[in-house]
Amino acid sequence: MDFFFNNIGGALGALSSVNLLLIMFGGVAIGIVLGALPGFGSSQSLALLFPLSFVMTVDQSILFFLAVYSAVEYGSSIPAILIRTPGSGASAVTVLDGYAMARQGLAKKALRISLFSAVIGGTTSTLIFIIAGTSLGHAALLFGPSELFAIGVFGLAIVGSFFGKDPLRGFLATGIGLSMATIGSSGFGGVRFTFDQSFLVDGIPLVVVIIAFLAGPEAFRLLVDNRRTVEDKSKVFDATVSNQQNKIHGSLIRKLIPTWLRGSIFGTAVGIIPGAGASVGALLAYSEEKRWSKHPEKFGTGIPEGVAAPEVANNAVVAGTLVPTLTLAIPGSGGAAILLGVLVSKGVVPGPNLFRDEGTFVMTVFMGLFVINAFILITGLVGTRFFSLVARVPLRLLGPFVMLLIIAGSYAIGNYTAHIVMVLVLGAVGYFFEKIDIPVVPIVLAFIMGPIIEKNLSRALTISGGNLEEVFLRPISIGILILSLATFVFSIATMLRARKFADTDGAKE
Amino acid sequence: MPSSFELTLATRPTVLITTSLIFLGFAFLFYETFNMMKPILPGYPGDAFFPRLAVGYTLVVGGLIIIRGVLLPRFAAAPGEASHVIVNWLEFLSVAALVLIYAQVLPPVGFEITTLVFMLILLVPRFAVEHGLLQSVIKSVALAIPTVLVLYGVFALLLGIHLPLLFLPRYI
Repeated sequence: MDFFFNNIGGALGALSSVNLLLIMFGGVAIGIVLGALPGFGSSQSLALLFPLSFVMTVDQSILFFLAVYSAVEYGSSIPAILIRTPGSGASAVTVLDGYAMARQGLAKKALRISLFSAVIGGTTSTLIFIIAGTSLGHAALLFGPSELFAIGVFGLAIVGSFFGKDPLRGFLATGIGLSMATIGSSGFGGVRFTFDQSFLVDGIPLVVVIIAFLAGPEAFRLLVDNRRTVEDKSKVFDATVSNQQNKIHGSLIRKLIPTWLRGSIFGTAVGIIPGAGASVGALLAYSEEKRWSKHPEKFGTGIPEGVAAPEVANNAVVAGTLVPTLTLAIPGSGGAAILLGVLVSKGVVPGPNLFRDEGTFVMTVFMGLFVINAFILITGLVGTRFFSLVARVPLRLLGPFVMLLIIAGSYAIGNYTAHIVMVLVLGAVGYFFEKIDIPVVPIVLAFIMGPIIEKNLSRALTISGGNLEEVFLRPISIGILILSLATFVFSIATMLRARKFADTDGAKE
Repeated sequence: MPSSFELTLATRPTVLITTSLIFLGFAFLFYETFNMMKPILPGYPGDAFFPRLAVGYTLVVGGLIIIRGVLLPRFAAAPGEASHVIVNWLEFLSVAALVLIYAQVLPPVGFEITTLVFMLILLVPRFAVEHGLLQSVIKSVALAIPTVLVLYGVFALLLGIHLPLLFLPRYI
């Protein structure tokens, strides 16, 4: 609790700045709009907005991006409920009962349940984050560079195994990102993989990698695959109908409290596991809610619990994902990777020392999350009509705007047209990779984590005088490295078994 | 029915070929690590140490994917994976070419005209899916002009980024 009381004053002082409050409010408004755009998730939104961090301080940028991240998760439920098109993978489960409620004329009620669930999920998980983050942060202070290197390897093993349908392809993507991170100056006088090209001496800029791999494939998908997509307008529902049925009564709130509690815990727990992400959190909360329910058969027919469970969980994931991101420098999702990227680009080193050296900053993030959730509540209540209109933007018209933002954002890095070309090439590679199920998020995660892992490894080796045994065979390090290997082997074995079962089922049919 | 501009690729061979190309590229990178600077500090493993680990790891994983694809083809497809992928190559190349042209034309022609033309080229055919040509052009212009102004406001005025501007600073 010392950490809390020592830093709360500084954090509240920082948060009383009008500038910071306006930035958070702006982040929430932009985040809900981006989330409400059909098919637009948190990683893509944060990647597109990354250039805005250039003109912000560390506090401002991290709170702005957290506001966007949290708001996108809520905003993505709007198209899921109104037009049956989830704004992100995490809201795919919300479609089941949210759209069913909209069809019954209860769109407004479903949106309100989604809003309250989002805010409750965000707030509860922030409380858990304060306890878990500070405890883990202090425990992690006991780790030296070799343990932190091992934790980085473990993070990569988990990230590789979670993203995509095939863990081997996830691991391949991780290797590509890790190798890309070694391009440029080594920091010890030498250069690596530059092939005498001066533009590679400083390495590939982080912003280029983030924009290219997280927003680029989406832009190509919208421009190439959805060029002629015409949405069925007859299936779009009105969110502004106000009648007695659309009101939320105290009895409904009391009924939803257990759902909110369970969903918050599931969401935060899933967020803490690197790589699992909001989609897994939402799916897990929904299936658990169905299992706990006395009427599981009603799920999917348009019941409030079916909206509340996934929405509370996918918003709880945001704070949960910050725990490994800030304490161990392991980002749990594409969105968290961008938050980590923002910190690294501002010269802040995430990891256990962050809690010791930048206590006020960490506490400002904690407290900022409460403010962000309050802003989401206010903006959500006031702006339902407007956000419902955003959800109706045809997919084919989004592509040109996304591509233009990508171009402007990549040009903004040093006013250099070569960056536009780099983003185009890497974005095209990302688009093709996604087509053949090579996930691109691990490339970005590994690219961000690579330098941190290398720095810890080099430090550990320098301290031990180059003795590899001393680095790899320390009790905690070897334990974590064995766990990493087990994760690698287990994920491949699980995939092979699933494939075998699929073959057996196919043969039976 | 697929159009003549759509390229249909079988997923499994495409993954195998892509991974093989990645493998070859990374094999060359692994060879390159032997040309890197030798360690100068006591204990420091040298510039090549970490790249060799990263590239070596990628080679091992790439090798596993290739071996699986060749020797155990029934395990090569991920559960739920589509057997084919479709890419509209004409649309893809058009977009890529348009972005390349934008990057080349931006400095000499200026942000305002380049961006306006870029947006019109992309928006008009997309509006034309549901509307007539004239209406599509009007709607595209009505969207493209405010877009240029908003981007100018955000990037040049708010973020202070130096855009190659032709005339807007004279008026706003």
